[in-house]
Amino acid sequence: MPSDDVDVRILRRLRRSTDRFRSALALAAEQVRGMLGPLPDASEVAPDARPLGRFAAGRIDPSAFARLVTRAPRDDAPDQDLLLAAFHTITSLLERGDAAQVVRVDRGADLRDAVGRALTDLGRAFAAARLVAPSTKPAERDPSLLQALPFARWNAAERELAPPLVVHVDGADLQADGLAEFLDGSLLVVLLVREAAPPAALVRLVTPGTYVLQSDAEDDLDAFARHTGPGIAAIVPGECARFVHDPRGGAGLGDRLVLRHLPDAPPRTALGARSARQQAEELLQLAVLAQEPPAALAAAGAHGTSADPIDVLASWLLGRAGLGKLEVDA
Amino acid sequence: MPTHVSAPTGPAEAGHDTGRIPLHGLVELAEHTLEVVSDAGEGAQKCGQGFGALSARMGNGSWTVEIIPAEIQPPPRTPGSASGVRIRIGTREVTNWGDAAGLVIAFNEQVLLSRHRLDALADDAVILLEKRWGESDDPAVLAEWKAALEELSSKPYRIVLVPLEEQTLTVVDNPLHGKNMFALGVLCRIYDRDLDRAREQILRQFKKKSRDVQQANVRLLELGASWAKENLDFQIRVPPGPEKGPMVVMNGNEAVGMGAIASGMELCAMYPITPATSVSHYLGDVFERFGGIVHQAEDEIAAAGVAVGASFAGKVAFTVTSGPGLALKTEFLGLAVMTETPLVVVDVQRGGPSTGLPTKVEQADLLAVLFGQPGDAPKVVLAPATIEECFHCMITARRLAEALRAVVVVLTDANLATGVTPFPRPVPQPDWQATAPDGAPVAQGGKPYQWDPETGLSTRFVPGQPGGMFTATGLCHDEKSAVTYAPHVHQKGCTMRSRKLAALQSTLQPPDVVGPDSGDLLVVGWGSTKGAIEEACERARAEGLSVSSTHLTFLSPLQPGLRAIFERFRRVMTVEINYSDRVGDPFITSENRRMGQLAWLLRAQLLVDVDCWTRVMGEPLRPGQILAGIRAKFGKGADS
Repeated sequence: MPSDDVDVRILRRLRRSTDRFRSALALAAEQVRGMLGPLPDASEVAPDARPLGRFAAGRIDPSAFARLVTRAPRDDAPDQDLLLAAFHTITSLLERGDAAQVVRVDRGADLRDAVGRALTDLGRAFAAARLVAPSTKPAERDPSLLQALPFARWNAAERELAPPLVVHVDGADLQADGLAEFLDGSLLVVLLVREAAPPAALVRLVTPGTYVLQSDAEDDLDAFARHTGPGIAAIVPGECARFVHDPRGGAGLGDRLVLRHLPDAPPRTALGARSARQQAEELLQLAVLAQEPPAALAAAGAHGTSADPIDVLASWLLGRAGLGKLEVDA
Repeated sequence: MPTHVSAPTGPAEAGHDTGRIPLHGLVELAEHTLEVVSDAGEGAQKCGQGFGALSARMGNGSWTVEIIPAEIQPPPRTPGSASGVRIRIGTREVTNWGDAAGLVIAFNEQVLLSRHRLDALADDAVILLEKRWGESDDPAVLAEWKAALEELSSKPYRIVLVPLEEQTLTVVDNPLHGKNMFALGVLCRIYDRDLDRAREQILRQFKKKSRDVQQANVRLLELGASWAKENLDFQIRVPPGPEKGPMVVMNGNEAVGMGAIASGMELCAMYPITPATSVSHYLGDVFERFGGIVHQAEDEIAAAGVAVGASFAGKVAFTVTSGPGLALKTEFLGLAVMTETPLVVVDVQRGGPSTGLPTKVEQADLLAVLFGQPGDAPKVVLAPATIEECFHCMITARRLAEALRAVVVVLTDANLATGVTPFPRPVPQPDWQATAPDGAPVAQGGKPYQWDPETGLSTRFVPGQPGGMFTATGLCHDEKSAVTYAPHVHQKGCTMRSRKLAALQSTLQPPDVVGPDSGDLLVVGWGSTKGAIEEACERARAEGLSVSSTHLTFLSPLQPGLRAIFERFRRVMTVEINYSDRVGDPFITSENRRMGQLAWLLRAQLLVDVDCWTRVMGEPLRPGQILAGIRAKFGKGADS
């Protein structure tokens, strides 16, 4: 599937991670190619002689040379069919380019499943690399992994090499908490949210080492792209909350989480599977986590007299959001 | 009007490729050889190389050889100051510089004299000579002029005086910067070159200069062409050959550099040395665009060390040098052999021993690369025979170095390095590029020198490879790279390192024989002499002599089947540009005669009575010289 301009733009911002993944793939492909020996290809030179160059044409018997140099490597090397399958798996993923990293979630479909499928597909590259790695014992070589290697079965090194994903999803389907299991290693996920969305859906993903960004500006992805751990970003409609949780900000949660914008109006209707209350809870959670400075709260006209900043914050936020009932209930 | 100083005085023996040029009218030739010579710094090389490149772009075969003074700033107006280019152009492919020039443009009579004394000029050559020196007010200059012309009159040259400087001064103030472009214009008119292409070429050549400089040079070109049209009544036409597809025009050092890029090299570690330096100049301009770097080390030894170290670390590295530099690199080459670190060494050979003849060609280093290290240090040695092969050889060398974990020496020479010729444009292939070293964890129990007992080959470990850490050492070591002096360990290590060459030889194919498969004489050559040898043999066969030739490109290991080929000929003789004693010289006997380097090698390896014909004149062999040597071998005429 061809990529949209927006995909290209965003993946360009995330190029560092992409390059790391593709370099690893290219390296693996070259290693497999080296183990395979010459690949058939049309050329004026006999196919087997191509890696030796034209100088060797007529001077080195390509078949004899191939036999000579392929007998030297490990005696437990994978067989040629397996090598070829691994090579084609890697090269076909490389050839797909950006398209392999773009996910389009159909309306009403499950976001987690869609992202999981994309990662499972990309995982085939790691499966291919594993098949030909000298550390893999012959008995452990499982060709079926070339068809699918779910993220759950990626090892730590593979998770560090995970390529970034760009995911197109409807706001109504933004069940972002389902993506928590994928936020490991260095995986970066960018959600491009269409239409109305829960105002703070990503807040449930805030953990100390995870970069979480909810913004309406693509430029914010530049800082996101520099993060070296896992991260998730959502480019959301303007009415949603905007915040960033940057693990590099400091030890305290307040140092890391910056709340940039809260909606003017509370969510009043359910959106997809999210009730209005759930959406409000997420907003509240965001506010609580952000722990804005007391001075700001005072300026905002906080309700009540409690000295507990969280109470103050909750009171202010709920008041601002017109959720007095919730405040009472709480 | 030009002044004809001397008129032709009857037929004289011309070189094979030098038809006599009439001084009136148009003559069409299949090929022709010309020279442009000046004092160093007057730009004759730029003129000559420009003419050669222009001819190649117009579809002619072309081969140029630079005439380079031995000194950096020789005194002007002396024979030792001669600097310039010989250009041989033809309708067909041109493979060597020919015998003698049929036309010369000389910027003074002293540099012309040097070419005369070297027998570089055909007896009936047309000489376009700067006239101002014959009109000098300086009595010393005038005396030199007269003496030179007296000496030149020993041959029936046809000398035409040309107001090179006078005309140049009508465009520029400093004739040192312009006579060469005027001369190029003259040549363009004489050889009917396309002036539009010449203008484009000048603009390309001077693209880094100001517009004024560019335009002045174009005006000089046009002035030279119009002067020749008005004042010279002869033209030489060498028709272009059939369309050969996309071609490139370059010298051997550029071809080596380009081949290094095409083969996936990542590092060129070098120290400047004539005539190898321009490889790094070329790479310095372009290598970074392809992810490579040129490292100019503090000396030759360090350059070799950097290349060995980079290669050990998993990079694809090569070093480039010439004879004296090769001598300095000896210790590191031995280390690379001992640690089985892949390494490509390009040796652009020049005259030796010691610093010898820096700017002159000699096939000087074959035995040095084979036996230059203490102990047994087996290496692969390749010798490209053409400028095109300088490109393609790098791909093979890189591949062999990595596949065998070996040092591969590419022997080019000053003739290939500075010669310029067109050849089919290479279409780089992804498969030519180096495969990344296997960085995957080493299998349990893996060893850094886990020699295959039959082939001696082993899998290379690179730093950072999990489970692959080992201490590399130049000392005798076992398969784990542990230092040990146990007798059987050294024996095994030497055997395994040597076995790799034998294993490689098992994949090589016998060389082709050019000419009949059997006969009276087989001429064996290597390196840049191929074109001259094959032309000489062809001419010898045309005279009825039973001569064939074969050219070796693999010198270590030698290509197989040589003994069988040699046995089909009554005599075998190498032709080389290196020293050998001449039979018949004082004290020289069959028992003490020192042979040409390939002859030594073939005799030792094959136990065949290989003779040799060699010269160390500091210039490429001429086909006519070789032909004379062949004739002498048949008792027909004197050797040259």
